[in-house]
Amino acid sequence: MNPRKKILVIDDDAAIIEFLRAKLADHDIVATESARDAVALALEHKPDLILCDINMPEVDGGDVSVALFNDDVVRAIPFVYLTGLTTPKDLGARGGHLGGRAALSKHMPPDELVGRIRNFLN
Amino acid sequence: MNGRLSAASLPASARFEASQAARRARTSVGISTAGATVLTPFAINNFLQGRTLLGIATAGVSLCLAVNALAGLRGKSPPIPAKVVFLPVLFALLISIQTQGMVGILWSFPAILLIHFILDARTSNLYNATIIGAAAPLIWAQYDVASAVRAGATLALVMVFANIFSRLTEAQQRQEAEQRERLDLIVRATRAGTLEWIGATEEVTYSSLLKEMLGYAPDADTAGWRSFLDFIHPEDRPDVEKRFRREIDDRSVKNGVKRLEKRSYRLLRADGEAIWIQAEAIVLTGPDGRAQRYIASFIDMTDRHRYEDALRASRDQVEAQAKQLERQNHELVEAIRGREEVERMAQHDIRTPLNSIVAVPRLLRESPRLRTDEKELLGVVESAAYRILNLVNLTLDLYRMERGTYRFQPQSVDLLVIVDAVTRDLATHAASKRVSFELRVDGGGHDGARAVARAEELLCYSILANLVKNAMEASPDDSIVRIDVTSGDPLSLRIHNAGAVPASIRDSFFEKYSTAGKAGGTGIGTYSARLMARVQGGDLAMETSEADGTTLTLTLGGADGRPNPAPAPTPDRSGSDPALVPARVLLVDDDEYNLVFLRSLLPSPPLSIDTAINGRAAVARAETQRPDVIFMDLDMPVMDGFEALAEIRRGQAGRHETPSRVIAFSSYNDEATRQRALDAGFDHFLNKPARRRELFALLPGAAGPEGEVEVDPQLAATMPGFLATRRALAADILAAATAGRADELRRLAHRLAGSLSLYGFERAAAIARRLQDGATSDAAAPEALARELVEHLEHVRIRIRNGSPGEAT
Repeated sequence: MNPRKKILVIDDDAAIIEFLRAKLADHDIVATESARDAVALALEHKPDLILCDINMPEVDGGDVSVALFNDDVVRAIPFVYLTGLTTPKDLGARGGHLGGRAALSKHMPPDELVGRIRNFLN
Repeated sequence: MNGRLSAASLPASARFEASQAARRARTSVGISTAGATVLTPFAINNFLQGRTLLGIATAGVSLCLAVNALAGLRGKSPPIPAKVVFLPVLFALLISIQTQGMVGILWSFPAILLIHFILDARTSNLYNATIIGAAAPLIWAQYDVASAVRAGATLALVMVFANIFSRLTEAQQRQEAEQRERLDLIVRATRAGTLEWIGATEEVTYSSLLKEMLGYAPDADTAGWRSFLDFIHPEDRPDVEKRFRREIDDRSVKNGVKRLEKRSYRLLRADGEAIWIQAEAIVLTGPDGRAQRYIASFIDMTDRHRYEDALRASRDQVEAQAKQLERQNHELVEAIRGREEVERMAQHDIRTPLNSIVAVPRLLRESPRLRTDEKELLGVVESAAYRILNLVNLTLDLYRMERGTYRFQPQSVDLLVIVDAVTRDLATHAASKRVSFELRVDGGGHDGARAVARAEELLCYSILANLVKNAMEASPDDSIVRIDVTSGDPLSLRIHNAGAVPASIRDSFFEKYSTAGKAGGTGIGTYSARLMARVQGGDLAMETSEADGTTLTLTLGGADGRPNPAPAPTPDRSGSDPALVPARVLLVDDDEYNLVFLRSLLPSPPLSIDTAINGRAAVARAETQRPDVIFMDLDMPVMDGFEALAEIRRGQAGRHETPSRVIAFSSYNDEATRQRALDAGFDHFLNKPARRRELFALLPGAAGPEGEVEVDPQLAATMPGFLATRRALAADILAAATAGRADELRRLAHRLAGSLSLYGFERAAAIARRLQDGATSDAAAPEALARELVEHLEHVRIRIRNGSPGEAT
């Protein structure tokens, strides 16, 4: 249906990465559990979408967002926070954005979450 | 005032010099007249006394002065220059001193004053010095040095005094002139016209601006003007005149200034146009309190009045529009309320009793005393009630689809199973028309084939039931309805019959209420079928012609997963119940039939069942019975489920009890309600009517504090690893909770909550969320929750969705 796209996932929880690999098997998932690798991976793979957790040890999602934004090459890649920090309702009240970036809640029904991610790919 | 203002184009200093010259001219006329009048008798006398030379000189002076005075009185400039007048004056004085001695000296005093006042300061001083200089030697010759010095000194003194006097007057006048100048500037700057009324003469002076305001030229002559009061608009005049008279007649202030209040009225211009002015006035009073002068200023307010009128008009308009908007808004709110009421009514008031109608036959059928045919009859009632329930649900869903609020919840649905069910339902009907169905999958037979769509089962059933029935009805007798399914993604399903759609409705085939006069047709079938197809991300199209008949093509997203089991309209009584452990269960519902039904599904023992008829009763029961599990209706009178939940949680935290597992049990089946319930802290959300298996899954069973978790087949492969890491995390959480390390506890719980919810472990996710939020104030509660989490993850049974339950290892 859709051409294969490349998604970069940054999350310190491997279970989240595994979930996305399973549910988005029709796309290529590049993933890291270490936020420090984010910019390097983005530069190397030029993904179509970056999904990034917020609450991570050492380097958090906000740092990743800034680092990516400060790089002229990867700045234009769509970047979406994937976070368990807020409920879908709170996120909805913020217009689906956190810190100027689009955001999705891990607490939304899984199928809906996957649907939203697919929407970002189109 | 007029003169000053008409000279307004000159610079101020030049204007002042001009006014000084005019003053000197007036003074010189007066002095000349007086001089001529006084001197003439002396001149005659001189001739009579034989002093011919002196007489000639005196007469010369007198004549010069008389000529100039006459010219001055006629308003002309003096014909004989002052310098020429000076010569006979000097001559007469010298002769007089020579011949008459002291008398001549005395004449010198008025002569000096005369010269001073008819000439400008510099020339007069020069001439007067000449007079003194010439007179002094003569006096010395006649008398002595001392007399000459005395006479010269007194003459010089007179000259100095005259100069000082002139300077002072001039300075004062200059100052006054400057003040007027400044006042004029202010008056002009404020665009105010002024009017001055002098009481003694009843004389009125109009400023040039006032004249312009009244529609006249700035330098118009006001001598023949009517009374100012005549300029006032007839409607305003009586009032203004009355006040004016009252103010003039009021004599309470003596020798002072009365400031009169501002007022607005209209004046009529020369061209008859009315202007709005604002008038302000002061009255200067004399010692008797009588008005001596009345000075008024006028500002043209016409523009401002016009703006105010326009402003008032637009404000009125805006107010009218606001009122209209408010009314429209009100109507809109009413309309929305009406629609919500309909939805609510359908949700609760129809579905709740229907649930009882579904439930009671089910209960009765379990009775061993019933005959088989009686059981069958009850089965008919039950399935009819299910059909109505489904219809109500579908109607609500259609309503949501139209409003764009429907939430598509895709599953894997095998369309062939549905087609099979639909054609079987229509079999009797089709047989009467001798119409048969032919089903082909990917061009071949359908035995063992599957066509799995990413769709919702009920919607697919509804679409296909509608389309297949239409195709069958539209088919000519003795014909075949062909159903061709092409699997893949997208997946397509074509329904063909030999009949053609009437030309009149081809274009509006999918529109609402489009019908070709079919008996019992509402025209809503094809409309809703397409709506349902589109809501599922697919579409529905129609091709028709007399030659080829009609083909409807349904496309839906394909899915590679295993399909859900076929719909089971009869309750699932088969299968072994999971072993239950003794537990206290509280059922809360304001509908007694629901309580009876639920109670009948839950075996007692091992469970001990208690019921409550509303939230308040539930809170009371929870205090005394300490239930392990509470099934709570949400919408109840007296106290609703949300409030009751909050009360129960508060009470249990206060009493240091292990929190009950509270399940929201509602006939509202929408996502918003589900989310609201979970946000409010319910551990689970269950739709009415519930199946026994769903209820049991939420009870403490032999397998631990939760029955099983249904897992997405795509995630099946990740399960063993996932469970292992989650169990490890849960153990860490328990350790952190036991040790009271709140920050670590929260961090780990956060991590766990995010992933558990994605993998469908809702119960565990709810516990993790509560730990993460630190919602429990009670120190013991986190540990109890963490222990529950560990046990749950340890014993949880994983059932792959659409698959058979299996023990996780």
